[in-house]
Amino acid sequence: MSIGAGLRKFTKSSEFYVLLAVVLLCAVIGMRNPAFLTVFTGLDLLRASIVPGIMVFAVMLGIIAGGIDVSFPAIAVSSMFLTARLFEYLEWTGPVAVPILMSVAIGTALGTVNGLIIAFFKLPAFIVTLGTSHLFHGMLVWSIGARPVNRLPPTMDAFSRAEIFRITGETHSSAVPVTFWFLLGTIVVVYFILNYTMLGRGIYAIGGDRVSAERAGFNVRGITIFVYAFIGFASGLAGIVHTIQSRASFPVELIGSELLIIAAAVLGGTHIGGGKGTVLGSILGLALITISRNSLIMMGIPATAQMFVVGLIIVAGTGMSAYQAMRRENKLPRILDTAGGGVVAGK
Amino acid sequence: MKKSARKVLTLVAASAMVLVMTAACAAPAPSPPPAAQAPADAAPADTPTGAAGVNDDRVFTIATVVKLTGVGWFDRMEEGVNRFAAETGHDAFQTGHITADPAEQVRIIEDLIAQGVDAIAVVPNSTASLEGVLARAMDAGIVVISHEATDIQNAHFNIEAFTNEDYGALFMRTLGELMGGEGTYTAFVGSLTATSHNEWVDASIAYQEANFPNMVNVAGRNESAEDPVVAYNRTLELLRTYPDLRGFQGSAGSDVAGIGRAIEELGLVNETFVVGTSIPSVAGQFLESGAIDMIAFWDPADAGFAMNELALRVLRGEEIYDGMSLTAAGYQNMTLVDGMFFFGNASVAVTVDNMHEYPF
Repeated sequence: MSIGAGLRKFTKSSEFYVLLAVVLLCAVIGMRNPAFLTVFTGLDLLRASIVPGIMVFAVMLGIIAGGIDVSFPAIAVSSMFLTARLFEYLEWTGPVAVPILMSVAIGTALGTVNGLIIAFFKLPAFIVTLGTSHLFHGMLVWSIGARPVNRLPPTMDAFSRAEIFRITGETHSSAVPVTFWFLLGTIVVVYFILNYTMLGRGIYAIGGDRVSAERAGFNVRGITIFVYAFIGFASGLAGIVHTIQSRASFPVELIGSELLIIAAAVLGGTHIGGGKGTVLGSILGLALITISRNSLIMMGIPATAQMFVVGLIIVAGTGMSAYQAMRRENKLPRILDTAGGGVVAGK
Repeated sequence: MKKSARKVLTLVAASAMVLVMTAACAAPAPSPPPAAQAPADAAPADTPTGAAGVNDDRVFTIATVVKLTGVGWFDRMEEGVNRFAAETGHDAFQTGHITADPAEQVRIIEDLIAQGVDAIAVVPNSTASLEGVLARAMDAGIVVISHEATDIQNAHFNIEAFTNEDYGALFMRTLGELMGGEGTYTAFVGSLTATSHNEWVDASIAYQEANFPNMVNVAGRNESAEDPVVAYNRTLELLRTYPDLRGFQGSAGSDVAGIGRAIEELGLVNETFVVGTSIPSVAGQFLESGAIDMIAFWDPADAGFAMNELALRVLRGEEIYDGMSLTAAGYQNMTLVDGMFFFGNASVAVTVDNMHEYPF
């Protein structure tokens, strides 16, 4: 495929329309306030997108496989708070990798619980995770109480200040923290799974049509368990990164963020019914949500109107990609109208 | 083989669920009765200390409903409620949901009405959304005392630790002096519907306009959703939008922590001034680094005690009057306005020098 043809194909994809929305939003904000169009804004937005980003790509995997997981904030907060309290109690001074691995392990375990229930009882993920979300969060508060951790162990605290690089200007300075690698790692892993592995084919297949996938020989049960375990894994990671970024841990944070995360994936063209979705689309969806959540002050929009504007951007964004999908569908040959020559006409 | 395995699995899952449910139902049940019984035995001896010598040995159940549980602020309030229970022998306890959700507060209060408690002391997330359920509570003969709700209608009395005007002015007096009466500042509220936060900021802005005419408020007030990470991101955004921003005022307890972290990272500790409501355990590390200059609060333990004490006086039919004392520190000479709004004199200003006197 030549570059020109590739570009033409891209302009017809739903990703293109999300990209257009992102560029449009940036242009509008930039016109209202030129300070937006600086490298500092970019770095600040990059940092603000780390925690939601890690969750977006995991949730996207679940949606492609045909299930909407809403328990990931509960898994994230359970993993991070349990870990923070444990290592505060231990007065931990060892390497920071241990609490991170611990949080990831808790997240994976909780995600596997979701996966087992969904796979073995063939229940809708939305219903199961609605329940387990309360189960996990409730268990956390019930078992270890809700007293926050106000000071992290010293190695975790030091890690929270670790930066990949920092750019310092006259009035402002901005850095990309080391935790950015976790987001990048998640993106690379999800991209690799979806595009280069049989597992990825299977995830698309069971999201498209579960029965067909089973008949085609995919291990539907195994793939389902993997998907929810992976969401748990990523949530555990996102949780501990959130705690590291906050330099404190509260058992009530992140809860309530699920809808914006799902919105980011769906904005990026991930089909809510399963079977469709790309990493690039979700990167753009994440960008749109992060920019609209973190740049409205720069546009001079008063706090009272911000929630309204974020909602407007989500509705407009999903509307644009849904319109594009509808147009694409209308262009497909109608089997009934073109009976007989349908295949030829469709080429 | 496979089929039987699934049967076993189903059975195990079902029995596990039953077990969890019975455990969940059984667990909360035993805890209130001992709390009610133990003090009841001790009540006759204890009663005179708590109730100013009134000879009334009825034991009342008083529920304190807080905005959310699991934060240092309301943990400290629970200490005051427990102290009240221990000193007076009444069945006083604190409850709340783990998120600051007005709908959850409504549900909790409905449960308390059904349980038939004698009094409810409540710290509303949103006054307007609680009016209906509190009216039902009063219809059911329950005494309702609120806190941090100067616009409430359906309560017997509301208690404030201080007038919100005085408290808002306290922050601006400090911030204005730190900034030398010059430069731009901005303010945060936990939520745009939190009455007290917005009244403090109103009062601060009014005090600034009257006393520091050369200072300028920018961006009005910003919403932190009571999340320090949101306050952090907003601070970065504000400093990009207004590079000469010098003053910050926080309202939710975690606002100054988020602001302080952004200030530290940008290396602006010496150029900027941060004041706001918080408690030492949350703001301590930033007071030490100099990112936060002053925090103020009222001791939630005393507020919790005072609410319960007032509820008890109302339940006993005692006289309620301007200038009365509710025993707790800062609440010993209450000003009564419009027949239902009590104001104390209980604000505490803390800097790095005296933070260690308040270990919570």
